[in-house]
Amino acid sequence: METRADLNNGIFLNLVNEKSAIAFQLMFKLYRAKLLHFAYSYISNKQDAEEIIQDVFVKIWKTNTIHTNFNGFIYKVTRNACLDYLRKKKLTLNIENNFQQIEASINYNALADDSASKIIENELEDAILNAVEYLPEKCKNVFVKSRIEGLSHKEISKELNISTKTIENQITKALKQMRLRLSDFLTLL
Amino acid sequence: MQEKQIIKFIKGELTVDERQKAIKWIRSSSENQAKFNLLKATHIGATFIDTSGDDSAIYYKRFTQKVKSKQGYKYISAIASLIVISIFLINYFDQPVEKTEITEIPTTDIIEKNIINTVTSKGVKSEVILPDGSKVILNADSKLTYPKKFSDSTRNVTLIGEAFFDIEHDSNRPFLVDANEIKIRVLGTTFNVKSYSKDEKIETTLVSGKVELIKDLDTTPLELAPSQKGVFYKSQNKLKIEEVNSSNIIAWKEGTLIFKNTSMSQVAIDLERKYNVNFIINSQKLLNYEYTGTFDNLSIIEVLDLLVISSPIKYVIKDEKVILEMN
Repeated sequence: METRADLNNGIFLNLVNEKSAIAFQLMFKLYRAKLLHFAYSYISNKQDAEEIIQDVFVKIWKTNTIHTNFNGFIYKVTRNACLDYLRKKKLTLNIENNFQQIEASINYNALADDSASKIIENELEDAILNAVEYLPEKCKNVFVKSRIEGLSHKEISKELNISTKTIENQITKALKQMRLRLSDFLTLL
Repeated sequence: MQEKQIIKFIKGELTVDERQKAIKWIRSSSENQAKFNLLKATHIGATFIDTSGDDSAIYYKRFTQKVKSKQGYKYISAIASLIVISIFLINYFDQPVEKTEITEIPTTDIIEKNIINTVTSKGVKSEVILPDGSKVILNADSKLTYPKKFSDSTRNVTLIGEAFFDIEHDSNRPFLVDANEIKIRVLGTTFNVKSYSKDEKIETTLVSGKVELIKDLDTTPLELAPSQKGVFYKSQNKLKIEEVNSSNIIAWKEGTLIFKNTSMSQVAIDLERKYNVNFIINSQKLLNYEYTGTFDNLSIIEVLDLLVISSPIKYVIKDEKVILEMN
């Protein structure tokens, strides 16, 4: 049976809407550094970028209505926050030819460009899914069911018809593999 | 302009002059801007893989503190009071540290004309038995004034600082605590009063029984029920009631400090009293940072280490002062 590492499955989204600690921890692990990289690239201020990203997670926490496309949602929230920031910045300093102001302005235009922005959104999703997809099939099935769909070892055991001992081994293996391949999962749970 | 040059610009690899040229080129036409938009998006998309989420646990922890502290929090009043504390603290920390004689003597009883003053220095607690048998535990850096013998009509004491009162019941002689702006009247009960002159509020927490808070003679006294805290805001001259867990409020008796969404400026003041240390906080952001945590009979070093682990704070000890900084 093919299992896709899909953050848009209803179970993960429910966990997010219910403000589950596991879902938010995973979200931080997978998304924080990437969103920060994205925000910093446009707003050119590390501290402000960090604040924007922290606020993005707070916004997600306050939202109870994410039903489809998690990646699209978290990306949109981040992009809008950056656009707001740049809009203010390009208007704040009204000295002619001010360097920062002009840079904010071209970055605002760049980020407001929907077709360019779509590239980032898609690449972000790919990078997130890749982190899980690189695993061997069996290993991935177990990992996704346990860590993304939030099933218990017992439930996975029933569904995939393997022993709980095997499940534990597979998760250990999955984490080990990902440690090698992707630092993203280094300390995941 | 060459594409290579624009990619360098996106990567931040150009000199100031070259940057200005690149920016000029981008701004010169909408086609150029569109080309830049795509190059930039592609570059960011391709570099997601290089990012690492190794440190996400720290940010996740900060996030949980943030969302917890935001729940049910009254922003405006909080921000207003934080500004007040901060302004005050900046002045407070700028003052040269005065060493008083009391620092050398943990607890002193100064008796004059049948009036007893029990004074505790920073880092010391003291238990006082009043003439009527009532028990008072006096927290650090506090002063309790009471007569050698109470009068027949009232039992009057004066408090500067923090104390826990366990008062003997006597319906004929009400017990009165003078906490400067606020007077507390009781018949027999247990309660806690925190009224340091440097704090911007006076807090009375009722553990059991009944107490009345009297602001002035014109206002009707405010009655507290157990596990309620009457907070008097000095700057606003206002008295408000809050529901609290009274056992947390009096945990200091057992050496435990409990903070719940407490501004770092207040945390520092409480730590200074308990450990007889001086803090320096220069960052406005840190003064406003809200801390939630429990220090259960820890040494000052253990407390500082815990602060470092649980919040974006680092510390340096210099000239016997603890300097706290945002990490």
